[in-house]
Amino acid sequence: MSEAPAATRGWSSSTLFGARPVTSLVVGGLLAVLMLPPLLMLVQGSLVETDATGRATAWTLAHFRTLFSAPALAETLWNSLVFSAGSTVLSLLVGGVLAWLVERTNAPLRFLATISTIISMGTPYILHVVAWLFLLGPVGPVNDAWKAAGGSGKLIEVQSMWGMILIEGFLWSPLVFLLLGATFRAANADMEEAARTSGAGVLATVWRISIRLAMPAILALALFVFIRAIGAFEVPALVGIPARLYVLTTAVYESMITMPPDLGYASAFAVVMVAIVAVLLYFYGRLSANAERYHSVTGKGYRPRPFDLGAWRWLAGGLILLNFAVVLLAPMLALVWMALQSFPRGFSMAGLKTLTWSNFTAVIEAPNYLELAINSLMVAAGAATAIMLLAAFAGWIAARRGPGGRMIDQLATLSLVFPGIVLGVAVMEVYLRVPLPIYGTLWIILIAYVIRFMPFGMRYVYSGVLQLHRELEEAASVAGAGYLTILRRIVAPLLTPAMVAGWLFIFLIANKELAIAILLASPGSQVAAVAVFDLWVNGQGGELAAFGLLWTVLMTGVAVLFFVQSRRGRTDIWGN
Amino acid sequence: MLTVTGLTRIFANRYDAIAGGVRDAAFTLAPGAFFTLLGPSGCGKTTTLRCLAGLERPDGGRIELDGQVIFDAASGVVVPVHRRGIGMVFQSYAIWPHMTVFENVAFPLRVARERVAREALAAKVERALATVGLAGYGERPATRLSGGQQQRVALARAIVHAPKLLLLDEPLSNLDAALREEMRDELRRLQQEIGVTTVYVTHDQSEALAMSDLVAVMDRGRIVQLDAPRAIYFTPASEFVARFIGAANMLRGTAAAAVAAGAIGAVQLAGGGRIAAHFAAGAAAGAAVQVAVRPESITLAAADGAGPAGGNALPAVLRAVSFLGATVRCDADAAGRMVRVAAPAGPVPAVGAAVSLHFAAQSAIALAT
Repeated sequence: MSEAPAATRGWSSSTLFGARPVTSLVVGGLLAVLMLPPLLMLVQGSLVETDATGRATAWTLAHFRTLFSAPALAETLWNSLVFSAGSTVLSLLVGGVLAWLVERTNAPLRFLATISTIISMGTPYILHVVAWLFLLGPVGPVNDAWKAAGGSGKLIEVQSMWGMILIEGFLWSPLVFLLLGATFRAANADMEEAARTSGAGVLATVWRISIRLAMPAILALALFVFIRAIGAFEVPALVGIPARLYVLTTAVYESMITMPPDLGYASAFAVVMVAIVAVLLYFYGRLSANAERYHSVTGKGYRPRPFDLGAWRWLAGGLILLNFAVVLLAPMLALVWMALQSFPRGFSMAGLKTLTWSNFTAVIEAPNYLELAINSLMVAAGAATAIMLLAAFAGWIAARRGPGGRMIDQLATLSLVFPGIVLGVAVMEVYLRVPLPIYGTLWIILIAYVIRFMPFGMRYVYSGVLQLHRELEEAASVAGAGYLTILRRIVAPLLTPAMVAGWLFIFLIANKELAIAILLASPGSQVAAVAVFDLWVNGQGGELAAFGLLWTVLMTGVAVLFFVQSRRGRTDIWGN
Repeated sequence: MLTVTGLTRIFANRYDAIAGGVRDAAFTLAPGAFFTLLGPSGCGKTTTLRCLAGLERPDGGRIELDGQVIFDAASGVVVPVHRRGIGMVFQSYAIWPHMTVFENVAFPLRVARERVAREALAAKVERALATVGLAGYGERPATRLSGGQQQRVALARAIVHAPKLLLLDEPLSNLDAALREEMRDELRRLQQEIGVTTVYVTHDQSEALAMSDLVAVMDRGRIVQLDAPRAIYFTPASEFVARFIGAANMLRGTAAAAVAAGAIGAVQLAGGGRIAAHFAAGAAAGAAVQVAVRPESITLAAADGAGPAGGNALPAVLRAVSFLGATVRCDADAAGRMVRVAAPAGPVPAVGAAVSLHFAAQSAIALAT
């Protein structure tokens, strides 16, 4: 092949049927088939009447009328708003202070923050929630201590709005830590040092310079967390539903699990949610474009230059330790305690006598847990692989403004408007109607994962491509490589680190989230998060904790890989 | 008055033994002096500057500014950076993008320990802006400035609170060549006008020579020569300094006889031939020396042409000629040694022609090896 003249090799990129437009067409077509039906079906489902067999019979606005006339909607909306705003503020406060201390100061014990971030990456949300329900619950150590100190009644009623905000806030703080940490790390230390040499102390510098410079990024992140909290399911389901405190996601869920499920009503509800999220996402897009505004070029000779906190560093170290204890240690200890007791009981000396391995033996010996684990891993791995393969093409075309690049970008990130539970409803509607026999199998969960997490894969490839100098591809082109050859021989190898990091990230979050799978899983096709939820509902707290801990250990291993992989790129550049 | 003694800051490197930083730096600056730290990248000049600023904590040494000890490793005195009363211009300018030009410049006054009244503050800022030629730019957002303007704002911010010491970290390196020369002259003029003691860091020898009262040439963390610009240029203390200041030709040889310091003596060249050279340090008979000769000190003459009286003449063959505009760069082979000559623009002999290289004894600098 190599001796063939360059002119005949590959397809010319300028013709209508060249490799470029054909690739775009295939990639765009695949994305359209994946991403569009759920949205269309959801809208259609909210606008049709169905007969007893589920077939659409007529167009109607009845579902929306029912929805908007019910007083529950306003209350649910308000609950969602309070819950999301509260947990956003809490997680930004906790995660933000931590990120600043870790990235920009010389406080001791900074490694603890990284440890809790890695482990919480690998823990399904629902496990955290269960642990917190135990810790703050009626027999938990917090209320126990309150009683022991002579308090009457309960210090905390966990099944309340405050309980929901508290738990959700802690749940999100590691992500805030991670993302704001990157912002603080990328900040130009010259800007702060210029303030210091101008005569400003540490506090004045932080207040007048550091925070102001990070403000656009902080605002964008706040909106991002808010959007995620609107779509959150685990906390509202486990903490809120028993107290009859409904938010949008749990209201959709309830209308789906009542018998018979009111698909039209649920769809109308879901459409309202999608609309809300879409509006928020629009503002998020504008905010995060703005976040780049203060991004300035750092000087040469980069070396991390943290603030010297002097004697205050011990207080800062104390804060880091406290955060570690609250966000990681306490929930994990609670799970260990639950796993080692044969029936639910509070922390006590008496409880030490009844410690037992029976939950662990039950989990290890029962064949269904192993099958469950394998199911989860396979679906997550399959989804991650499919996403990264498709995203490699889509991300490259979008980042390089290839034919249809903008449309491909929008298609691939369309599913951001779906909260997990809504996507569950939408995917269910799609595959109830198309004649593919995948309803009730693992395949439908895999497809839902692909739709849901495609935007993440896209983001990894997209930013990976932007970091590659365009001339690397142009040089290959000049050397005679065709379009697909450039992708295969130049882009793909250079993108490998980003692709591996993206794969691991998707693998982790797919195993973490409950909301998408909960409506799609059936007895024969369970995944781990759904099984944990069922165990909780059935009151099998001990086995739940035992299985959850084993699962967390496994996933933490994957999370460590992920961190090593995502830091590798930076290490190559900075050498330390 | 700035007095620095024994200043040491060493960076340990995790991978190998080579460590960056600065070792045992010492210098004293008269009030109003313009002092330049000159050296290649990684020589420790920026580290020295950051130690003066207080952005880096030295491992050892002592720094005294206007009678106040601002750092002393022995007694543990460390005045924090914001209490040192300094002004600094960063290489990246570090203009805060969320503030106007006025607010950027006003910042040192706003965070000062003693409150500055509103009118006095405005007046000071306006004066600083006028000094750097940006009068009337105050209300501009800082993001709407060219590189040269950002540089001026950074300078105005560094002088607005009348600092005791002005620190400049390669402030011109991000400007294009024409602007760089303009700003170089202006910076020097400004510094003389304000009369502030200034420490300037650069790797550009012409900047250092043009602006400074005193230059410290640094190599691998140490100050290898501390002298006035002319002395650095005409009597470099070592081969490193000579090369860094632009003496591209090094001729090996031995002293033909004992030479007193500062005298002209004869050098027997390694490849044959004998030249007269200036010995700044003196040498014993037979001592190995390197003779540094600048390309621009050498004249090309026809092979049989008579040299200037008392000057050196080396026979050579012209090997390469490149026309550079202001000068013509010639490489000549003098008995196996390649010698570079920077001839004035004009006709030069053809490649392959036999020539004679003429240079004065004063411009041949003998250095001990």
